[in-house]
Amino acid sequence: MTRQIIYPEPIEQAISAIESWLESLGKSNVLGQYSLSRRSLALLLLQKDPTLWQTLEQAPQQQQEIEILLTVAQNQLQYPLDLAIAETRQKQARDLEALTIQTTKPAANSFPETLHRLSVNPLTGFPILIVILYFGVYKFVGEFGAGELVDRIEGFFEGQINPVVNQIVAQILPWQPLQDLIGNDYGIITLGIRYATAIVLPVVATYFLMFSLLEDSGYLPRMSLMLDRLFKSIGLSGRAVIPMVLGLGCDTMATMVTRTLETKRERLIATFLLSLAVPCAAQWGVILGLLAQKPAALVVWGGLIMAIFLVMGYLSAKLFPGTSGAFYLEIPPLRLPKLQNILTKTWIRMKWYFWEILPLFIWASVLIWLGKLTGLFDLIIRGIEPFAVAIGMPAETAPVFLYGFFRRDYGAAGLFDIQQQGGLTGNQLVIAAVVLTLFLPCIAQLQIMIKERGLKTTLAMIAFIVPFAFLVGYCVNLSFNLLGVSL
Amino acid sequence: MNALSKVKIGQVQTVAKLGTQETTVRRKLMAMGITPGSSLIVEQRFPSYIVKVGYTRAALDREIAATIFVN
Repeated sequence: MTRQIIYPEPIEQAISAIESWLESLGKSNVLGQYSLSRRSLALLLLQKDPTLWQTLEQAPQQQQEIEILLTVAQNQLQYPLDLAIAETRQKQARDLEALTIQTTKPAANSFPETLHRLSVNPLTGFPILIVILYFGVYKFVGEFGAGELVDRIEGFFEGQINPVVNQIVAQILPWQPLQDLIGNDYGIITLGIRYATAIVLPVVATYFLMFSLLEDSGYLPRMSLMLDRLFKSIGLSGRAVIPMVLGLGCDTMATMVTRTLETKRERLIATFLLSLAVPCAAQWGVILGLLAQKPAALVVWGGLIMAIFLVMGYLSAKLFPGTSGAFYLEIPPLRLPKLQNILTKTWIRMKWYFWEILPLFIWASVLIWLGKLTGLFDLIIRGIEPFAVAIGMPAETAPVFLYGFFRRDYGAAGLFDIQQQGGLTGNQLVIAAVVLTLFLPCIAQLQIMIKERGLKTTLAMIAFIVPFAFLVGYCVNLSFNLLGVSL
Repeated sequence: MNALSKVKIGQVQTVAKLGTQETTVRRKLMAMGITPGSSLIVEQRFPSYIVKVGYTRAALDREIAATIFVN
């Protein structure tokens, strides 16, 4: 039972006007390439269809004529043309629905419905949100993925693979620098591939697993609506919740995802906050390990980073012109995820991500090797040393800041080594963890930032982030000393 | 005519007017089925608006909700 939709009189008039106009154009009609009826073309034009509009730009004369026809139609209506068309269609659909569909009274108290209410009610929704983040992100990704799994796989590398590789390169390669390229402390296999498989892979695997679970259960849009107001105050909207939560897994991936944000301003603020104050799982995993024995230090670090995230977000929202993007989202029903789907999704994402970053890790090893071989690194490290001392750190922590740039967690892992030798106090650990978290994003994230936001914007952000990170470190050290705090 | 911020929660309302000036927002609302003449129920206002339109549920921010008028 198909029936042609009859639109309000002014629209029907406009349709016939456009139809005869299209006919009069004959062969010169640039829209002739679309195999659509004249009525369909007319309706699409009345709704300012972007594709047709682009095609019309080839013929400015025709574009002008159609604009006149549109203005005439619009002047006879009280509200926008596209709205009038949508309304007529909706009405037809509703009439059809009333004729054909019989609804039984929906169960108002079904289990998914109750769960939905609990998850969006402010009284129960915020605690649920915190519990999900605590168990899903902190416990599962942080403690299990970045802690337990990383330790085991790293232990396997250190115990079983690295010694064998070192032995083999020592036997077959006659030249020490060449041996260092493949094996030893910073080699392609012993450092690059080890870090990719032992540190990033377990973190990313657990993170993707958790994320797919949240995604398939339909919880993510609810998380966005719960946090929209908070995010508005830092210049973002509920939509940005997804890239920000992804950032706690991997900032490089999250920076890529900022593409989904609506306005340029939002993309800019999100990119900036991700590179400044959102630590990736590899990084906060190591930092947690570093500060685990000192709960007070952990709280100071977490509180400071959180405060900087909110304050810098608030300030950039004031600084960048414009308003936050509008927030509207469809809320799908909550569903029990299918295990098979989750595993497939996680596997495909892991595979994609691993091949994406493996070359970057190998490059990082090669760059470190080159930097050490040419003495360039020693030069840079000597340049950093006075800054390290200024923020209250021993001079031997300077390399940590340089290596932290190659992978966010290289730096933290380097600190771990120094701490193992008992070289750092609680205060110094906190300062180092704060500065490293704020400091330059890793080399992979930097590449994506340049790709997504352009070189100029990226350089401007870096020019702010580096001095800011050290300044915060300096202030924290100063206040520790003034207040006589010793963590 | 009332803005969504003024209506009772849980009552069926008929949309009278979409006041938003932004074409993208208007189109998205229309795609979700929020057009003049359609009925909707406001389920909650805080922390975001949740409205039920037909078989669809949608979350909206305060600013958008303020531009939807119902009878």
